Amino acid sequence: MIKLENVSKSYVKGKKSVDTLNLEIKDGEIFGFLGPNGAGKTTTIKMITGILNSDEGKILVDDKDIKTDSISAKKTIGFVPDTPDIFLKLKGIEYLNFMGDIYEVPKEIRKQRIEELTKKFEIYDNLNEEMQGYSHGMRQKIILCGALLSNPKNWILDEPMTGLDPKASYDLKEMMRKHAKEGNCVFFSTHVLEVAEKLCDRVGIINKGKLIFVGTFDEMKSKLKDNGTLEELFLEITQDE
Amino acid sequence: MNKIFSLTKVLLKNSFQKYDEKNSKKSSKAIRIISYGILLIYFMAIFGFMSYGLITTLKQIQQEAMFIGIFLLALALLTIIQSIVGATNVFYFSKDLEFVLPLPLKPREILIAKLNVILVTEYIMEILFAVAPIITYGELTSAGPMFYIISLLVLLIFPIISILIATFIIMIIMSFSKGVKNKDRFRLIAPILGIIIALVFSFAISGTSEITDDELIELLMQANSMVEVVSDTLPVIKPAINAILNSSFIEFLKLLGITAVFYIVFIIIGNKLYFRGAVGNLSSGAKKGKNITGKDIKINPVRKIICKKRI
Repeated sequence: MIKLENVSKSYVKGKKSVDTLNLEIKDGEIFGFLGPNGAGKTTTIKMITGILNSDEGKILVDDKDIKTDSISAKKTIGFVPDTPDIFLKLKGIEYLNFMGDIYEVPKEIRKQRIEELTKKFEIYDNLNEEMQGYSHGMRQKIILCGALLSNPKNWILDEPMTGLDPKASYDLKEMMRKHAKEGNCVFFSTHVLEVAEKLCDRVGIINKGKLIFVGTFDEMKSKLKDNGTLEELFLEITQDE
Repeated sequence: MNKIFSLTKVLLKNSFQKYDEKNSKKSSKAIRIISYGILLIYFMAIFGFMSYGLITTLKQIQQEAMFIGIFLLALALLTIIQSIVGATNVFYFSKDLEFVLPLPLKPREILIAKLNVILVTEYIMEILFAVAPIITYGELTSAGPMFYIISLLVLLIFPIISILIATFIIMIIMSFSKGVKNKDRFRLIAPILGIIIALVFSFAISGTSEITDDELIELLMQANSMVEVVSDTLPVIKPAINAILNSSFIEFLKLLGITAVFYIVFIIIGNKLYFRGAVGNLSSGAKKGKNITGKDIKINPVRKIICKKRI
C-alpha cells in the first residue's frame, strides 16, 4: 500500500512542482500514473522512493513513513528509475549480487531468482559482461531484475516499458498482473495510454503538479462528453486545466 | 557492515577502469600492467633518493629523527589537497546518489562507503609516495622489524583525518551551492576553492615560523618548527611521529583513538551536512529558467560554440 497525504514539493520558491497531492494505491492494485512531460510524475516517484524529501505532507509505504522509517519502507520497494544508466562499469552479475547484498537476499534464493528473472528477460547469457556494453533495453532489463530480486511487495516503476522489446514488455506486463493478483501493489508511470488502459485497475493524471483525475478508465470516459479516442480523452483532461 | 563493504566495492569498481576489460587484448593488458609497474618503481626511486639526501643531511647534525616529522607533515598536506579533489568527485560529481538513495541504506552507511573510496585512493598514493621514504629511513637508521610494523599501521590510519578535513571543507563549500545561481559552475570551482583554503591554512601556519634562510638545514629546522605548530592543529601528527620514531604501540593506539573520535564526530556532522547539500543538488536540473527573448536566438560561429561548450 502506498499513501500520499497532502504532499507538496517546490524546486523554485513560489512554484510548486507537486501541489497538495493526495493518493492511495491499495494492495492488489495496478496504478498507472499519467501526465504530460514536466507534470510532476518523476518528482512524485522520487519522493515516494526517498530520493527527494517532500516539503509538506506525508508519504506512507505499507504504513511506514518514508521520512521517519525510511529503511523499513525502502525494504518493501522495488524501484526502477527512468534512466537505466547505473553503475555501468559493473558486470550484470556484479550488479545483481550488489542488489542482493543490499536487500539481504539469502544466497540460495538469490541464485534461483537471478536465474529465473534473467532467463525470463533473456539476459542470462550476458551476465558476465560489463553493463556499459549493454543496449538501452538490456540495461533496462538488468535494472528490472535487480529491483525485483528481493521480491519486494511494492513495485514503483518509472517509465518501465521504455526501450524494452515486445517480448520483454509483454513479460513485464504479465509479471505486473501476477504481482498485483498476489495482493501486492504496482505503481508505474507511462506515456503509453494503451498500456495504461489494458493494464491498470486505476489511473491518476497529473498536470502542472496537481492531480486532476483519479479513477478507472471507464470513469474517465463517462466523465467526458464525447466518445473520443484515448489520446483525445487525455488531451481534453490535461488541456482543460 | 556487509552493506558498507558491498557499496564500497561497487563505488570503487565504478570509479576505476579495470584491468580485465573484456574488449582489451591480453597483450595490451600486459603492457599496461608493466607500464604501471615501471611508473611505480620510478616514483618510488625518486622519493627514495630524495629521502636519502634529506636523511643523510640531517644525520650530519644528528637530527635524522626530524625527517619523520617533515615527511608526515608533507604527507598530510598532500592527502588533504588530493582528498579535496577526490571528495568533490566521489561525493558530488559521481551522480550515483540518485541510484543509492532509494536503496535501504542508512545515510551513515552511504557516507562511510564514499569515504572508503577516497581512502583506497589515498592508500594507492601512499604506495607511490610514502613507502620508499619509510624504507630509506629504516635502512639508514638500522631500524628493527617493529619500526616497519608500526610504520605500516600508522600509514593505514594516518590519512583518515586528512581525508575527513578535506571532505568537511568540501561539504561546507557545497552547502552554499544551494543558494548559488549556476550550480554546475560553482561545483567546478569548489575543489579549487577548497585547495586554496587548505593552502591558506598551511601558509598561515608556516607564516608564524618566519622562514628567512635558504640553506637546507635551516629550512629543515624551519620545517620542523612548522611540524610543531601544525601538531597543535592536526592532532595526529605528534602521536604518528612518536609511534614511528619510538616504534611505540601505545602511541599508535593514541593515534587510533584520536582518529576514531574525529571519525565519529565527522559521521554525525557529515550525515546532516552531506545529505542536506547533496539531496538539494539532485534537483538542480529542474530549476525553471527565464523566458527567452528575441536576443537569445542568434547565430554563432561553430568554433565559438565548441569553446563555450568545453568551458
